[in-house]
This record gives sequence, C-alpha cells and structure tokens, in this order.
Amino acid sequence: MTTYTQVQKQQRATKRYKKRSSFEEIWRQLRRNKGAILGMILVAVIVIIALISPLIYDYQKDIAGQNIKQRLQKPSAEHWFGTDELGRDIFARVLYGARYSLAVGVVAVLVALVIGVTLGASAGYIGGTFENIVMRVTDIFLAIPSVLMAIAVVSALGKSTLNLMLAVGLASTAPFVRVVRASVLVVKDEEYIEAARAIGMRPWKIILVHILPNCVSQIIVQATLRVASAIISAAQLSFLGLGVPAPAPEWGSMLSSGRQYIRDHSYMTLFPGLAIMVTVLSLNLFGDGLRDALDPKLKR
Amino acid sequence: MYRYILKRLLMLIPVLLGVAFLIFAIMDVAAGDPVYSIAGPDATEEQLDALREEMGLKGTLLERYVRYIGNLVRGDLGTSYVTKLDVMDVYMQRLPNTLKLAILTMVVAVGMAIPLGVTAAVHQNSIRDTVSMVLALLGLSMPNFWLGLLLIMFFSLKLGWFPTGGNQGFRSIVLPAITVGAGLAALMTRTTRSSMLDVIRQDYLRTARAKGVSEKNVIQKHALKNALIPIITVFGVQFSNVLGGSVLAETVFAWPGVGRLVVDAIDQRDIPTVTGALVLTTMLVTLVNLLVDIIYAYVDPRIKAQYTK
Amino acid sequence: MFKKNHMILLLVCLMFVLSLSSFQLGFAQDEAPATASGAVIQKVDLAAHSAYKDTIIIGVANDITTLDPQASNTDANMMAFELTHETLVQIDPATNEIIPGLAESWEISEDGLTFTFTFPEGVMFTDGVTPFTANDVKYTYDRAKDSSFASAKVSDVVDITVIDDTHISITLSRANQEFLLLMAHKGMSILSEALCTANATEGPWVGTGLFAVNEWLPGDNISFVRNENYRGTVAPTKKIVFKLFKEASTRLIALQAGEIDVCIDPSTIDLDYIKNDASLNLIQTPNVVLLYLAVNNTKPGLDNVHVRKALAYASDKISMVEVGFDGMGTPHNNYINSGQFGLKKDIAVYEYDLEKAKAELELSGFKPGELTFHVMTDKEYKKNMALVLQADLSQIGINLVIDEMETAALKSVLNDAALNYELCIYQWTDADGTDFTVRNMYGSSIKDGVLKKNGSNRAVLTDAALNEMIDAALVEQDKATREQMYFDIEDYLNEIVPIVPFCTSYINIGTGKDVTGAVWRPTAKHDYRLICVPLD
Repeated sequence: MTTYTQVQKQQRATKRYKKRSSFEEIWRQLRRNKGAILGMILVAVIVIIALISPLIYDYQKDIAGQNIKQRLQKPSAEHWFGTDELGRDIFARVLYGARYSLAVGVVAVLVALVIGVTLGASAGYIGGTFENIVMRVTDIFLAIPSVLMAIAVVSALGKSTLNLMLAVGLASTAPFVRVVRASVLVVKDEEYIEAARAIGMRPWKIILVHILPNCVSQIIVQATLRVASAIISAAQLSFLGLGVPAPAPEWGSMLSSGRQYIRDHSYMTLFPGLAIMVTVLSLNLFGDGLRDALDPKLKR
Repeated sequence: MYRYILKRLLMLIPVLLGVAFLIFAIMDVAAGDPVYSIAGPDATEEQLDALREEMGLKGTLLERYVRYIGNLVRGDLGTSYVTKLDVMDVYMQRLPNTLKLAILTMVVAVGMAIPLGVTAAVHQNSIRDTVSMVLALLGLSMPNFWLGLLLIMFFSLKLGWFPTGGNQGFRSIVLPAITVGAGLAALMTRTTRSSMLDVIRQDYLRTARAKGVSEKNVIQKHALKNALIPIITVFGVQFSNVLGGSVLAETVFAWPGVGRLVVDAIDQRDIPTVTGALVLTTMLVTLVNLLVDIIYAYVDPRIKAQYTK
Repeated sequence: MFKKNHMILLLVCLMFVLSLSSFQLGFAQDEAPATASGAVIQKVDLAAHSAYKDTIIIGVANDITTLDPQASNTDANMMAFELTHETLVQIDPATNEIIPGLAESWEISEDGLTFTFTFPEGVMFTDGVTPFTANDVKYTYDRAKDSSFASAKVSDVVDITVIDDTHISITLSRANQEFLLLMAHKGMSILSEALCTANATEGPWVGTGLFAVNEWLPGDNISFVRNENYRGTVAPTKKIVFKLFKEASTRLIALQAGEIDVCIDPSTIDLDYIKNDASLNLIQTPNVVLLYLAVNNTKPGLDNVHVRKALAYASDKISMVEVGFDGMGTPHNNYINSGQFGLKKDIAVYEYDLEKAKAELELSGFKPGELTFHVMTDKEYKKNMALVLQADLSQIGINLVIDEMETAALKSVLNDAALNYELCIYQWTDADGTDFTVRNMYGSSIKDGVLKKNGSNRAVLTDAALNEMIDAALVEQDKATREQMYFDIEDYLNEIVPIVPFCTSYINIGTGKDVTGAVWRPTAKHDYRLICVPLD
C-alpha cells in the first residue's frame, strides 16, 4: 500500500511542477512572438464584440429589421459598411455576425474534439480489433474530401445552424482521432500507466487522468487552428446556400447573398469577406504562436 | 516494397465499401423521397411505385447497399436518377477537368511556395521572411471562393487577361488554379520554410559550406532536395482537399469538374451519381496517397528500408 | 517572426484586397418591340443573308436534366425539346393562335370530340434514316399515358386511330376547348417508335426538329447540330450550344468578354452594363410567370380563411418586387397568369395593410404570437421575398420561419403524398390554357370515392363546387360566356384566398449586338430555332 501512495504523491508533485513551469514558459515564449500577441488581442476583441453585440443592437430592429427604401446604399457616415439588399446596416450585421461565425467554429470543433478525443484515446488505449475498426472508419472519413462530406451531411440533415455545426464538426473529426491516438500510443506502455492499471484504476480514468494530459498541448493547438478552418468551411457551405438560415447575419451567407450585387455593390461581399479573413488570420496567428510556444522544438 | 503496395491496395477495399455505405446512409436520411421530385407533381401512386422499382429504391438500406456493391464489383455504378446517363461515363467526362485543375493547382502552389519558403528560411527573421510568412497566412485565411470573385473582377473584367469561366483551353484554368492554389501554397510555404530551416542546420551542409561550396549551391543542390520530402507529404495529404476545395472554385468559375458533379447531384438527390462519384474520388485520393508514399520511399532511403523489412 | 513595423504589411495587403474590388467601368442600347402576346420576335430574313456565324453559344442558368420530352416539365428542358422535336401544332408567338407544326392541317368534328390531323409526306427523324409516320404519333401519345409528366395532357383522349401513314384521328371524352393548346406543349413532342424501342434512354432524344443533339455533358454544356435534311428551311446556324453558368454575374461577364452570344437572366441589378455597352443588346419583356405564396389549406391555422386573408393583407408585394427583382416587376392580384384568357382585370385587391391583417387575425380567433409557420424557398430572390413577408408577419404577431432548400428537395416535399409543408414561395409557368392553369392549381379529382387534389394544386384545395365551375368552363363553346365563367372562378378564389399571388417579373436577356432570329417568350421558354448572327 505504501507504494500506491508514493506513486500517487510523486505523480502529483511532478504534475504540479510541470504545470507551473510549462505555463510560465509558454507565456514567456508567447510574449516574444509579436504575431501571436496580435492574434491573441484580435481574437479577444472579436470574442468581446460577439459577446456585447446583443447589448448594442436590438436583433429584431437593427439586425433583421428591413428598410427597403434605404437598400443598397454605399458606405457612408450613417452606414459605415453600407446597406444590403433589404436595407439592413452591414456594419451592424458584420459585428453581430461574429456571434454566428465564432459559435459555428467553436461548437463544430467541440463536436470534433469530443468525438475525436473519445475515439482516438479509446482506440489507442484498448487496441486490437476496436482500434482497427476506428482507424479504418477514420480512413474512410479522411478519404472523402471534407467539404463534400459536410455538404452531404447538411443536405441530408436539413439546413439549420445546429446541422451546420454538426456537419463541419463531423468532417473535421478524423484528424483529432489520429493525433490523440498517436499520443496515447506513445505513453501507453509507460511505467506509471502500468502502475495505475495494476492498482485497478478504471480504463476511462486512466485515459482521463494519466494519458490525456500528455497530449493536451497538441489538442489545444489543433483545436485553435481547426476553429479557423471550421469558420472557413462554414462560410463555404453558406456560400453554397447550406448555411445558417436567414435572416441571421452569418458572414458566409452575407457573402453569398452579396455576390449577385458584386459588380456595383462590392462592399456587400467585401466586408463580410474581410471579417472572415481577419478572424481566421488572428486564430491562425494565435494558434501558430501557441504551437511554437508549446513545442519549443519547432521554435527558432 | 511490392508486398507493401499490394497490402495498401487491399486496404483500399474496405475503405471503398465504407465510403459507399456512408454515402448510402447519409443520402437515406436526406429529406424527401427522390421519386417525388423526379416524377413530377402529377405522378400517380402506380407510376411512383414503378419508378421506385426502376430506380432500385425498393428494399431496406442494407438490401440496397448489397445490391449496389454487387453491381459495383462488376464495374457498374448505375445510371443517374435524373439524366439516366451512366454514372461512370459522366464521371469520366469530368475527371480530366478535375485532374487538369488539380495538377495546375499543384504547379501554382509549388511555384509560389518554394521560392517564398526558401527565401523565408534563408533570410530567417528578416523582412523577406516576414513578407513571405504574412503572404502565406493571408493565403491561408482568405475564403477561396471570395478570392475567386475578386480575381474575376480584376483579371477578367478589368484587365481582360483571362476568361471568367468555362473550359476553353489553358487560359481558363489559370484563375481557378490560383484560387485553389493560394491556400495550398500558404501551407506549403510554411512547410518549406520549416523543413529548410531543419536542413540548413544539418552537419553535412556545414561541411559543404566549410569545403567552400557557394551558399547558392548549398541551398539549391543540398538543402532544397532534402526539404522536398515534407513538401511531397503535404501534396499527398492535401490532394483530397484540393479536390474538395475546388468545388467552390468550380462553382465560381463554372468549371465542369468532379466536385461540382457531386454538389449538383446532392442538390438533385441523385444518389447513384453522388455515391459513384465519391467512391471513385476516394479511390483516386487513396491511389494518389499511395503513389506519394512510394515516391517518398524512393526519395528517402530510410523509409524504404522500413518497408522491405 | 514578426517585427513591429512589419505589421504594416498586413494592412498593405488588406488595402490591396480592398482596391481589387472597387472600380467602375465606363458605356448604348436598343430594343426589339414586344408583340401583343408579350413575346419579343426577332424576325430574320433568311433570304437576305448568305452567311451566318457557325456557332451560337447561349449562357444559361439552369442545366438540362433530360432530353426525353416526356420526362420533365422544366423550362430549361423545354427549350431543348423545341430545337430537337416537333409537336403536332404550335402556338404563333405573335398572336397566340394555333398554327401548323408537324401536322400541316387538321379538322375538328362538329361535336368538338374528334380531331383528324394530316401530315406531310417524306418526313424523316433527325438521324436521317428513320421515317416519320402517323403511327409514331399514336406511339408517342400512348407512351405519354404512362408518363407522370405528360399523362394529364392526354387524359381526355379515348381513342387514337391511325388512318394511314399521313393521317390520324384522335377522339376525346369531352369537347376540351384547349386540346390543341395541350398538343402544342413541348411535353407532347413526337417521338419515333422505332428509335425508342431500340434504345430506351437515347431513343426519345431524337425528334423531327431543326436540330439534333450533338454532345451532352451534363452540368457543363449541351450542343445541337443543324438538321440538314429538315423538310422546310434549314436553320441558319450550324451549331447551338447551351452553356451553364450558375452565377448570374459570371454569366454576364462572359457575355461582355465575348465568350458567349446570349446571356439568359442577367442579374437585374447589372442590367445597366448591357444598356451601356454598345456591343450588346438588352431584350426585355414582362414575364407571365406567376409567383405566389402556396398555402397548404389543410394545415392547422392555414385552414382558417381569416388567417389566409391576414397573409394576403400582410404581403407587401411592392417591396417584394423591389428586393426580389430590383423593382423590375409588377404586383399580381389574379389567380391565373397575366395575359391569360379570362383574366379579371378589376379583381378586388387585398392591398398591403397591416391593420387589416391584424383585424383578420383577430377574426380568426388566433392570438398574436400563437401562430408559427414555415415557408420553403429555393432561390435567392424568393428568400429575399420571404424575408419581407417575415418582417411584416412579425408585426402582426405571426412568426415565419424560412426554410431555404435546394429546388429538387423542395419539389420532393411539395409532391410528396404526405404534403408535409405549410407555406412555399412557388411559381406557375404554364401560361397557355386557362383551364390547364385553374385545373392544375386549384382543381381536384375523385379517386376511390374521395376528392384528391390535382398534382400542382399546392393549396391542397378539394372543393367540389369549384371543380364544377372549372369543368363547365372547359366545354363552354361561346367565348364571351366562357370568359365570364373564368371571371367568376377568379372571384370565387379571391373570396377563399387559397394562395396569395405575389407578382410577375421581367424576362431579361443580354445578347451580342448582331444576334437575331430568336423568339423571346414571356413564359421564359425561348425559341432558338432560327437564332443567328448574319455575317453580311
């Protein structure tokens, strides 16, 4: 029994030590990367915009409310980004749209994360036939171009915000399965895992407590970068008319409805396009910085 | 090596069966019985029933799947619900267009990525590095259909250099290739930069430098060759995304490729076309990946040694 | 990696993107006059020219889905059938009169029940080897009875007798005043029995028309080559290509760049580019396609006439035309297509009035906030119209959810026997026969002892009294009485508001300056048989 407490204590100590030092190290690394800091600030600004936009705007009046007489107005002092085909203020819609794009991106990645981590970790840990099946199914998902996959899923489930999230999430699950399984395989046979198994710890607890913390940094980096690509995927689906239902000001659907006016009213596609670009860019900057900070081998 | 290739080809079979099943299952969930849109408003119950029989919609999902696989094994992908044309024929009409676009996309991507990535690595932390990396990030962050629209506005309409769309010779592929290639080029630039940085520090390059080989030669002859390996991998991994990503470019540029075939077929609930096209595309992607792995093995003897073991 | 001042580069790149998308172009126009029927007929004197451009490329928005005339009813396909096939009779685009088609003449019996058609001798199908005989007509019409698209048009036919190779007589069960109009429908194009039995898929592609299918690449383009053996004057153009451009802006740019000769349906917002381009010609004529709000009268809430009247009062048709067609359209208050026989010009109008809408809702017994309806839309302009309705309905306390769908998915929901929909923005495009319109849109027939709605009756109306009115009008031989009967039908419909008619729009076509010979129909089913660019 003494061994049991000793092992645990030792682990806790190591973990605590590791955690504190790595957090400081990560922050120190991150601070030195100006791109990452810029990315982080921009992401924070966008998140704040998303959070406070309902306080500034009344959805029924400012976002969905129409003013047909004021339709297709070029950018002006009154309407900074102009107005759309229904006379709605594009500036307000772009700001408010951050909620949708971020929500779709984040939820989609959460879906991918939960499924991917569960499957990847259990496949790596359990091994055998189960692992084989999971990995072959993953191969199937990876073999189908993910945009086509997402299109098929949305058109099957029907058009709604939730289905869009699900489709994009499902289409980006496979990489998580692979990453997590690979990191599980690395630590699976380490002594402390065997020790935990020997003392009769349940497999899911071993995975949760001992294995997953090892690949947390990889998962975070993957997740940050995946949110960026999920936002683009969602915009692509919206562009094909499979996105968030009207009148929600989702950037992809704004781009999609603006494209028939592209010749004389290019601002209608320009601003939502820029919004997507800036958001994705900041997430990429931040994600890259995070990766470099978490994995100093890659940092030069 | 041959055993490895054979093994990989055999592994393709369950993947294809899985893809077919997955598509079957997804399309089965899809709202609306396809006969209703195909038969029109005035169809009688008897006509609908005859159509279901003709379209092979009778039976459970599993029965239909087994029947489909039975035909697939004989090389029969069925006929389109809508046009009644043979799915294989239609796919083969589209495939050359998709391959043309994919190849030129790769050429564009590599053509942009290698100079940018090498410059960035060689002049690490200089302004050139920053410019290259900012360009790469922008390429990665721009929705490609948006870039496509901007390119049409500028290069087709204003300057008249390239056609707006369609499939009329080499000039019409340029803009779609840039559209799809931009994101890929961005990825490759980053890969090139980091693998070049890896290689530049290797001992044998130090030796080469020490022996008085000029810096330009060091980069061209030694460093780049070794840095190519990760780029080939990116090519393999991204090939499926190029096929997928081209769907949007195909829509914007009216390019008659495989991606749009699938999207149009999904819109029309044309299950045989969707399934057939995705099965064939998957096969193509997997074969390209296999090819990449083989090339990889030849380029890097260390990996070849692993296979022969 | 990033130095401070290098951040400016990001901004420079953003500016570049900005500058890419903001520039203007600099720009004259002429129009062929529309006829009384609303069709724009570009007459070309084929004797005056000796040479024509070989190939005409038409940029279209909708793909051809089938080349079998009996397997579809969409406009895009109809335009192909007109090139490749012929019908017994056709409709004169200028006067809407029935004129000879494949049949050179016909006789109608005294009782209006028997039609005897005479065909010219020596007619060949476009393959050049298969002769046409009267037997092919019998084959075609018999085949039509099994087609879910064509069967309704031959439902009154009780007997077809082939008299000899060039004569056939067709007997009807009732004196259908619109029978010849139905026979002019492209879905009744004459097929070859020999070719169809030899090849079930490609046999129906062959007709006796001015063109034959050359190559079909679904989703990209379809080309037709001139039938050099046509019995009359052969077409001036050797090859006609329908090229698919799904994006309206791209389609117009292709026209401006000279890549195509005709651009169908450019975006209404972009019409000035055609007007201002001296090398282009803008053709415009009012469209007769009736755009309406299909209301499933059997759904809870919508089965209440006051709720339907509330919907009618809350429909801001002028704003809908504004957002759907950039103002290029006309609000429509009738229940049949504009230009149709029997259209009641002075029908009582449900003017847009939210107060009246509120009052009707109160009469219905439903409280504000109590009702939520789903409306299905398939195209961008319909979605925009639905958004207008959504905003107005929210003001009277009806919640509207917009379900954007793909056309095929929407059609399968509409056609599904389950009738699982509430509202849908839909259109009625067959504008030839008034009976055909009212029977299909509002009629029902008895099946197994119960009234079942007719196929295109999107209101799911099963009204025996209305059916009697429709049946009586069909066989009325006095024109004025018949017209009055249709007025009465419209008034009846206006009381029960089974649907809410919205508007009609315009046919817009951009062509190269020298393109002529085509007939641009207000039904959007254009006749390209004689389209050409004379070179002298």
